[in-house]
Amino acid sequence: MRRKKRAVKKRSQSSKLKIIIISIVLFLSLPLTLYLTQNEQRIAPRAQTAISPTFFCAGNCPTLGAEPSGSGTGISRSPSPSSGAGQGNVNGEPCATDASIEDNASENKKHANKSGENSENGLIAKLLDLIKQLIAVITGNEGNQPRSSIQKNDKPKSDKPKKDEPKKKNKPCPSPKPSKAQPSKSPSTAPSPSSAPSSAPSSSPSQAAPSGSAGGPSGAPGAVAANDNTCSGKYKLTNPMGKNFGDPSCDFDKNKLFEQLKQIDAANASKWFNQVIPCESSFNPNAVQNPAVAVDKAGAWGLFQMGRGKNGPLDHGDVAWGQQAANAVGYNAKLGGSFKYWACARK
Amino acid sequence: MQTKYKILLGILGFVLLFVIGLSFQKLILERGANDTPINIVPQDNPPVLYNTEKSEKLEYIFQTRPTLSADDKFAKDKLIQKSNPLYETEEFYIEYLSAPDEFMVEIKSKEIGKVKEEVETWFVDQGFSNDGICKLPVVFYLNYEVAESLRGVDMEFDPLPLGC
Repeated sequence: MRRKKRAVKKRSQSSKLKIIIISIVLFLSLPLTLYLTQNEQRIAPRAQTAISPTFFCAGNCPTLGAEPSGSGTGISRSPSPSSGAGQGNVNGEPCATDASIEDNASENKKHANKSGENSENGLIAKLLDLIKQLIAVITGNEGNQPRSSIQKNDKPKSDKPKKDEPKKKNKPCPSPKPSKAQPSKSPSTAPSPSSAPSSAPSSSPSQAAPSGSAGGPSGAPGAVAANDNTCSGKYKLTNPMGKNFGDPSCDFDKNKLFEQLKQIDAANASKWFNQVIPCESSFNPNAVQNPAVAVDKAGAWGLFQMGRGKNGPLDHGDVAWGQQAANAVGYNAKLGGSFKYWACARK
Repeated sequence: MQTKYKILLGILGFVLLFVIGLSFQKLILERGANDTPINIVPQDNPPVLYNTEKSEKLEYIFQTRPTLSADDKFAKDKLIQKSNPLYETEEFYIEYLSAPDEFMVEIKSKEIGKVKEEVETWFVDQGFSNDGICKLPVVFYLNYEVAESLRGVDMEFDPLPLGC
């Protein structure tokens, strides 16, 4: 009798333990899965823009849609964060299409009507299935539950015929993954308004990606890198770089600057022009504050006396003046238009 | 039974770790994509701060564009036909900027008050009234080297002409 009682007790204890473990697992995994699904929904559109033909393929990718109107001029008006990656095909050559782009694209096409999930969403579904199966196994239905659901979900990936994959060409486009298409990761390729300030794009931060310490608005047609040109003695190149980074083309003009500011931040153009710039740099695009007195130990650079990347890719004043303006406006937008960054504009 | 139980637990643990790892990865990626500034503390330490009230008044004049008297308008129309610099000395540089439609004066001397007086005298000589000079607007700013030489001096620079 005692043995029987013990056995019953043991069984009930172990089943209780099982239930506790299952509930803990469910409790932990379900919110996470839900969070992931939400995340996917937020990130998915970005992935779509990342494979936009304008930026990666200059409109020549064979499998993708029409080219936006702005691309022909070299001035992109799309707010895609991947705009900095458009250097691949300035000559208009057809680009290599990364297999993964087309895989995803074809997969999206295939499953668009069914579930609308991309490959990562499929992975989540698989995980959910796995969890369901495990629950079923633990609760005593082991063996009865068919494994077909997992196999079904695995099929599209594992059975994908490799011969259908597009061939990779010699000139690859930049990575299509949204994570790699951020402005910070492609610093030297952003289109710079400095080459065409009058037609500068909107204050999208992605447009305002700096060219880092290179100084020049590289990536733009006719871009000029930082150089030793003093513009007929207009600038004293006593900055730590020893270069003319702010006006390498010697085309700085207050009227042009105001026009650009009006285009990218019409509401605050006069504030930038009459309050911030005169106080920060006295309209000297090559102004550099001695790092010894600057808050940022990299110094304060350019018209807006910005840093050299301490606060991210927009915090660059060590670039050509058009880019300086775009960076300042973009960075201020990140700060909610508060002008908190600039001591000259604070109340 | 116990071995099976352990295997199941192991699988569950693995799945959990995988999900957690994936969510962390997403978090990191999202943070990168948002490009959130780490530090919004002002990075600059300008040599001379400009007077906030006067700067706001300048902004108000710029935005509202008070009507000029007939004489002031005539003087302005005549002056803006000339090319820049409109007038230049060792101590200041006067120019007209068509895009913002304003007159800008760079002060190249530490004697700010004296320079402002000279500039205003010049504008009066061109046919402007004192009221008209305020309404144009005329915007003063300090030359970069001058501003740097005034670093540490307890002062606030007024970008408007005297008496505005």
